[in-house]
Amino acid sequence: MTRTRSAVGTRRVLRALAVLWILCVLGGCASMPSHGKVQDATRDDAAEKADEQQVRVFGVPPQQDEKPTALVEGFLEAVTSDEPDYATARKYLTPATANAWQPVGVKVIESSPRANTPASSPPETNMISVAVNGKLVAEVAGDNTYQPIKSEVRDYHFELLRGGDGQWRIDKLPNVVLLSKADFRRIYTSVNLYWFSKTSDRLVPDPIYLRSRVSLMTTLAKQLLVGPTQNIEPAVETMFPAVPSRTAILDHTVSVDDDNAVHIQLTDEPRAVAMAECPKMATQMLYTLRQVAKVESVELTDRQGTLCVQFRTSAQTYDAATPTAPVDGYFIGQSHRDVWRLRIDRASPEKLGGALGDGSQMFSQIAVSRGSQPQIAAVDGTEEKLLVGNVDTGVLTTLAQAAPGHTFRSPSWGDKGVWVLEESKDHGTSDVVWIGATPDEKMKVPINIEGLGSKVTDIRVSPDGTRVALLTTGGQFLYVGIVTSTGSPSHDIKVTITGLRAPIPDLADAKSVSWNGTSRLVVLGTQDRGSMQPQYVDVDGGNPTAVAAIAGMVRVAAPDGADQPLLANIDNNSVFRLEPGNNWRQVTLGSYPAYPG
Amino acid sequence: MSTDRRPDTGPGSAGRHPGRRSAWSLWTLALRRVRGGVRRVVAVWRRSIQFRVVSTTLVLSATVMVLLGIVVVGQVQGGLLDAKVSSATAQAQGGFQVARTQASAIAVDAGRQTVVGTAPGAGQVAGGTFDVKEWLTKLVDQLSSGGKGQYDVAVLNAWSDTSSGETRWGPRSSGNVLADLSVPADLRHELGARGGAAYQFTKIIRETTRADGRTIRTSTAGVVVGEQLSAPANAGHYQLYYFFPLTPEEKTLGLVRGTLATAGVFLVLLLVAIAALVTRQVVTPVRMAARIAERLAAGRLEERMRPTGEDDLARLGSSFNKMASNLQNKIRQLEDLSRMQRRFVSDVSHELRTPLTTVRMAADLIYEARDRFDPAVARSAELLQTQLDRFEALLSDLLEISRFDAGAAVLDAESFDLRVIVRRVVDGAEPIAERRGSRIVISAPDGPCVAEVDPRRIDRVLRNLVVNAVEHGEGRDVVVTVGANDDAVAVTVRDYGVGLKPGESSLVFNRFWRADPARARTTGGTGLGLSIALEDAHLHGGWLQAWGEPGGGSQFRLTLPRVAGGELVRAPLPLEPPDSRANRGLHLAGTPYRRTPRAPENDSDAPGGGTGTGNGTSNGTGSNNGTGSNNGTGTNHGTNHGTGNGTGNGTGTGNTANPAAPGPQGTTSYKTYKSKEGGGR
Repeated sequence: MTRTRSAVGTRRVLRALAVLWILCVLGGCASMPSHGKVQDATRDDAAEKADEQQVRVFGVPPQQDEKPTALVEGFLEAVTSDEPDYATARKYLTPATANAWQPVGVKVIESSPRANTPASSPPETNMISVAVNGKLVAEVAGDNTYQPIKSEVRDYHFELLRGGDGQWRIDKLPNVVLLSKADFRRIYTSVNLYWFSKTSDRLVPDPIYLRSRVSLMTTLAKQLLVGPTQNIEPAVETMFPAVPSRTAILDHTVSVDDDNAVHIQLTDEPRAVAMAECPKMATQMLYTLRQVAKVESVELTDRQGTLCVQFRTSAQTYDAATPTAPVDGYFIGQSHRDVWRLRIDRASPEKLGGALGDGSQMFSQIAVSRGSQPQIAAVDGTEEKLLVGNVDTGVLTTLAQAAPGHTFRSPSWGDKGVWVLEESKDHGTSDVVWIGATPDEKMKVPINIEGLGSKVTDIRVSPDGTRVALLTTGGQFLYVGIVTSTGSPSHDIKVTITGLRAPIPDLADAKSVSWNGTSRLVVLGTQDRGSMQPQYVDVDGGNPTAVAAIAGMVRVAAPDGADQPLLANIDNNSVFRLEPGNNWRQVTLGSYPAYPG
Repeated sequence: MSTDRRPDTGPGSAGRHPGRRSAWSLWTLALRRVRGGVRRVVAVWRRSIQFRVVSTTLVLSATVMVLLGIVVVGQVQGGLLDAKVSSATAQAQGGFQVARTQASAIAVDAGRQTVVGTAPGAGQVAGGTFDVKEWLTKLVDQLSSGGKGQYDVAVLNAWSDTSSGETRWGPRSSGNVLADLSVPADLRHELGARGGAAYQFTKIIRETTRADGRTIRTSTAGVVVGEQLSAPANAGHYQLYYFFPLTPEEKTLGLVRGTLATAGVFLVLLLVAIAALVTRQVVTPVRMAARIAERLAAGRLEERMRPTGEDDLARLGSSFNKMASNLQNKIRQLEDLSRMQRRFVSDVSHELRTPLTTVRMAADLIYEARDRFDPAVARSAELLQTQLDRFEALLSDLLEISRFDAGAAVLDAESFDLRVIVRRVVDGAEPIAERRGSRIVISAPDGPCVAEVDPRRIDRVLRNLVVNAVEHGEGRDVVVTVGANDDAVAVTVRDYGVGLKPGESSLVFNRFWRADPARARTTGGTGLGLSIALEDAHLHGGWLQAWGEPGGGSQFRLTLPRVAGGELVRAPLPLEPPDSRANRGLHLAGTPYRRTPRAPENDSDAPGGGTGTGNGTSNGTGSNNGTGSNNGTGTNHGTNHGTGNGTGNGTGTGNTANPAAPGPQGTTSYKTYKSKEGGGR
């Protein structure tokens, strides 16, 4: 009896211990983990967060008994708040002016505009003028295009009236918004409208500046239907028909649904006029809207139903800058007798085969064509012949011979041929010529540049073929022009570069320019009294971003895609690559690095 | 639209009242249902220990869980808030330090704040005129860039500087925070008044613009940490604020709350289930015991519990079983004893008859020859004769009683008019009444009062009642009333003698009971007359009831069903006579006897009164030979008359100590009597 009882007792104790042990193990599960496997850290959707995180400035309405200077400064401050219709700022105006004031465009001023204390005036006067001055650096025109201006101090005059209640209010003021550079960067954002090139089925960006907080997406979609800006209009066309009247959006707002799709209801013109062009319209819309939100597809509808749906993947065929494969860089070897390829995924460069690599030919400058089977256009050692060879086979043929007493310089691949400079041997003049590269169109077309008074030293054609970037010796050192052509390559072709604009007006010298995609340039130059420095700049001159500089830079080559590194040529004998973290690193010895373009 | 609506509203307004009524009835129906449910629950609560224990456990454990939840959530909230505040203040202090460092850096080199290379010449301008607005915007941008979604930063004017126009600028904030609304005024004031950082809990208000241009304001609870700092280049002071929303803490708290609630619900359910199981273990044997006890109480003495194990309930079961068998034994013993006693009485009565007959014959001889004896002997002979008469009457009454006890009495029912019997009985009692100097008045309805009765027994009952009334009537009138209704006939016998004391009306039917033991017996009653009358009445399925009040006389009522075996509901005549003292408004000297409390006090017409008195001496199980019954009754008649003639020789001093045990039928009807004789009533 006692034995069994004690046995039962020990069994009970054992059972209790087991339960306790299980509880302890389970309790261990509830503590924080101190080890584990590697896991992905997902990134938040940056586009949505950007607006949230942006600093917002709130306007302050005018105070009681404000002095004229303070009133004007308060007004200028209130304009920088993010109100759609400047509601707070209008409180600084007299009622009549508040109703009438409709600012057209923006004047961007280096620092915050300052109101000068007016000359002392009798205290009983009821009218006073306050001058605001600042260094104007850029302006946004009425069609939202941005234009940098060589900075100069300007005065803007505000006339104030004292109302019946003894309070000063602004009566007359400039019909623009005055913003400091910092405020402009904060309030406005650069977005592209997309058009189709008149000569090819390529999307052409058209950068404009819009207020980033005021229903950007809707504004952007409506702006797309307005049509191309003056800057690009000669070279592009929009697929949205303008007959009998301009296509318009019927929706109140444009927004992205949960599937990243945008549905836009249009007026009846597309169905009536240009049903076949609908996918291209949708492509324009998709490319335009995807800058501000993640858009996977665009559906265009009208009152009768769906017109078409375009998806991002199929729209990409119209994108001039989207490479089908990782793009390789090329450069000329140290001996100037071979061309090397710098694969993005390999550490060391490789020599090309055939005549391009066997040392039989001297090369001074090269250009690589875009596409899956790139061709190399090379200026030979004498600089009098332009050779064309296939990268894979290495077979070289002579494409063109320079005119007597002239040499070729700076070849650049355009749509179906090579743009090259034909420079007189005394470096006095240079002409831009286009040389057809297809076997049946080996023709040389001189290019007329409208409004250029100085010698062209370098020319680069944009991936979409509608713009060229020119480096010149005088006036502005960097120009961006628009390519227009009449006729056809086979019959009486006339190519003209028009609408020259200077993206960086205060450039003091420029050594190299290269396209980084369709709307961005990489310029190697000096600004005012600065040093030689490469910088990214939008094609309209906005968003300049400096890149690290090293001594002896003579050339910078930029890829079309955003993921590949810049290549630089230092002292004409070594090739450097821009590593992540804004550091240049020498890759190899060589010269004239080039990306397709 | 309106045409659509009009026919809709028409019936609606017309049917409003019915609708309301139906709604009302529905409401009352629901209320009734609820009430019924509550009543059922209350009933279950009263009856079931298990339900009581389980529901108590439910309520108590739920209460405990709620209290526990409140405490735990409070603790967690406090901990979360502490952690948040400490991390927030640390973060904000870092930011304030950054702002101070930047301000002092600008004080050293006023040209450094613009990004190098973006705009040549910017340094010039900035060096000349420092732009505090731009600097603040940049500061907010820089400080807020590190905490996307975790905190937001804002700068506001120093509290005291708001009125001065020179350094005025609008609030700058990240994350769409409306800083001037989100920062409480007292915090701004406090920061302006003293140095150092401070924090406060507040509502962080944000204003977001939707795609269609409308603005929405949202507010979240949060902590705001702020400090007043001086802007570089003598641009005055500004207040830098960090906003930390408490959204993650609220999420954590919600998680804890949800987990606690789920766990609590499960725990409570588990506790209830455990309570149900445990009480089931206890309640099941208790229920079994209760069932067995009920059966035992119902008379099934052989029922026993089946105890298992050796726990408390098993002990209860075994002791219960022991108790039950003890009771059973005792009851059997007592039953045997009572049977033996009744048999003994019956046997004795029988056995006494033979020698008594002999004695009687001898005594008759002596009595007839008494003239030849000297007077003293002659007197003895007469005495012998009367006492023998009495002895015989007693014996025959005893025989009759034992016949009832044995259940051998048989009803010889035939339809009879009660008035006839009453008249006959009254005629028979006339001589006695004349001797006592009283009159017997009959009050009978004109119509016949026919009932199925045994005339011999009814005759005996009435004779007994009338003679008793005459004897105790003290020379006053005796009123015999006959009444009838649809299913019953009744006879009351009223006298105006000394009456009955309170409580005595229940005792008059006891065997050998006498009202006053000290009172000399003046009549020759055997003391069994009323007992036999009661048995007779019960044999008919009728009632025999007594009422009396001290000094107000008494009344006996015999109620019989018209059909033999029919059930009595109410008697045609009241038990308490209309001329009682109570009815006449005098003080209530006596109350009618009622044994069961269910009978209403004004009238004992209810069956309870009758059956209650009757049960006392119901049929025993004693056996007797029924042959002498006719003789017995014959002698009974004789003795009644004889006693009437006889002088008062009541020597019976025996108190009636025969407790008519009101047990279950046929089980406990035994009697013991210590005295040999009892009073007439």
